[in-house]
Amino acid sequence: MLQKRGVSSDLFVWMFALIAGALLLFFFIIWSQRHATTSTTVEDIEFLRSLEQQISALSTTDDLSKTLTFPRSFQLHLDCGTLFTEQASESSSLFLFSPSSLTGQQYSLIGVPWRFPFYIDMFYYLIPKGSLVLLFYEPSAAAFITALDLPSTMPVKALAASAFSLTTLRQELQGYSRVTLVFFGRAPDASTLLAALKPLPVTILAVDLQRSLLTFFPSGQEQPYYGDALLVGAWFGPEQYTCMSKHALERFRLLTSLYNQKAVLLQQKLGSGSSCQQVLSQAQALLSSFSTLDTERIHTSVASLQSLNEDLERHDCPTLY
Amino acid sequence: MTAQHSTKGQVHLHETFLVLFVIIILLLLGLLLYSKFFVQSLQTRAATLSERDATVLLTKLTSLAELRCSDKPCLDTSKFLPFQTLTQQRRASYAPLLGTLRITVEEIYPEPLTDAVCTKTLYLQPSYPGSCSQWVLYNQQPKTLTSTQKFSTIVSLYYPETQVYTLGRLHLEVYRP
Repeated sequence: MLQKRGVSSDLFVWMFALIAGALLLFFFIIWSQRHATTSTTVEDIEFLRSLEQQISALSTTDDLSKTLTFPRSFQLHLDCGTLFTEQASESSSLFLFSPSSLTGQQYSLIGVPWRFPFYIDMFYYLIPKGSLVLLFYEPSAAAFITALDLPSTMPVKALAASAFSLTTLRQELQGYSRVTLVFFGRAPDASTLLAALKPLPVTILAVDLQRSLLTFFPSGQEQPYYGDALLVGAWFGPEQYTCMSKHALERFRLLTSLYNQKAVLLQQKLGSGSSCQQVLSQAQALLSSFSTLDTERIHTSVASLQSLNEDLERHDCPTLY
Repeated sequence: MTAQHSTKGQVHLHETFLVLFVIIILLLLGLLLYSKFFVQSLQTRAATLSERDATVLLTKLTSLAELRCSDKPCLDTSKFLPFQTLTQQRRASYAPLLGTLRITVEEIYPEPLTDAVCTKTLYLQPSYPGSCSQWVLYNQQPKTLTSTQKFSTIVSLYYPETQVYTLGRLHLEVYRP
């Protein structure tokens, strides 16, 4: 009886120590896991915020391009105005065109102001090292290609469509990690071309300058573009193009609304006797129509607005933009 | 002998409990202290980030299409009143970009004759731009306000009506909920 009591006491001590120890160990494992997750989340948030700040800051410098290097272990994703990692996400109002997943390597960050016809916003292109955009243009698009004002740091080469040769192309594209072929005018059969260039990472686009329309291959999906900067966006971030062009159009409509109100105020300020009244009134009517205008007619109206603004400048009137 | 054995066992058991209890308390205290410092460092990092955000925003505002001149590094004063109206009408579009803050612009050189805040009525007066010298471009307060941070920068102001340039200051007052 006595011995039994002693045994049960020792056993109790051991059991108690075991359970308490296990509980403590479990508590510390959970705590350190949570602590590690929180630390990673904080680091990721800091990284995303500082990346956004670095990109925004580019618009304030004279040199609109710089090189960014992401940490090796880092994986960043972009999805329609949201930058996110495994642990954190940050919504962003930046117009950023890039591959949808960015990993630890070097990127060129280039900014181009988007004017349509007035300045609307900065477009940023995050281009992985080893990327190339080849433009093949028909004679009818030669003037457009020559007038394209692209930064010299952008990996873009323009060639006449007559210079297109599959054999030369296959040799030339060796060593590139990401290639976009852009055809101004008629594009060769995309599926045959993609099959011939396999396994090279190639994307094919066709541009219809007359209708300001883009065709993405092999899907054949057609999308309008508004201004050169948005067209360039499709070359470097085809995955985000649909979403970004929708946001860009919203931003454009917001600005037209502001210029509409500016035109109304200027008219009231200048009074009915002013020679600028008529042009301002025409511009205001045009600006009011943008909110309901379909995408096809936007281009014609933008050209008219530009000509009206030039008229205002010629007549020494306050311009709209 | 039996009673002694039992008392020894009990004392031993009590000692074990006491040691374990002290160790747990010490560990928990350590954890509590560590967590407190960790949270404090997080708050400092958050404050630094917010401050940096505000500085970047101030720079961004000077290049915002809604406010800036088309080709020159200046702010177009004829866009100020339309911007004020637009941010009120389209709050949902501007809230993610601007957040909870107050943006004001004041003319500083040449020294203004009045410190009146510009409204549509003052804008339409023949004496404009002399009729007012301040603009409240945006003001969005949070439901609860704990602190505010103020930032400002010198800007060039352009009056397209008279084609005159003056010097102004862009103020940013960030509300912290």
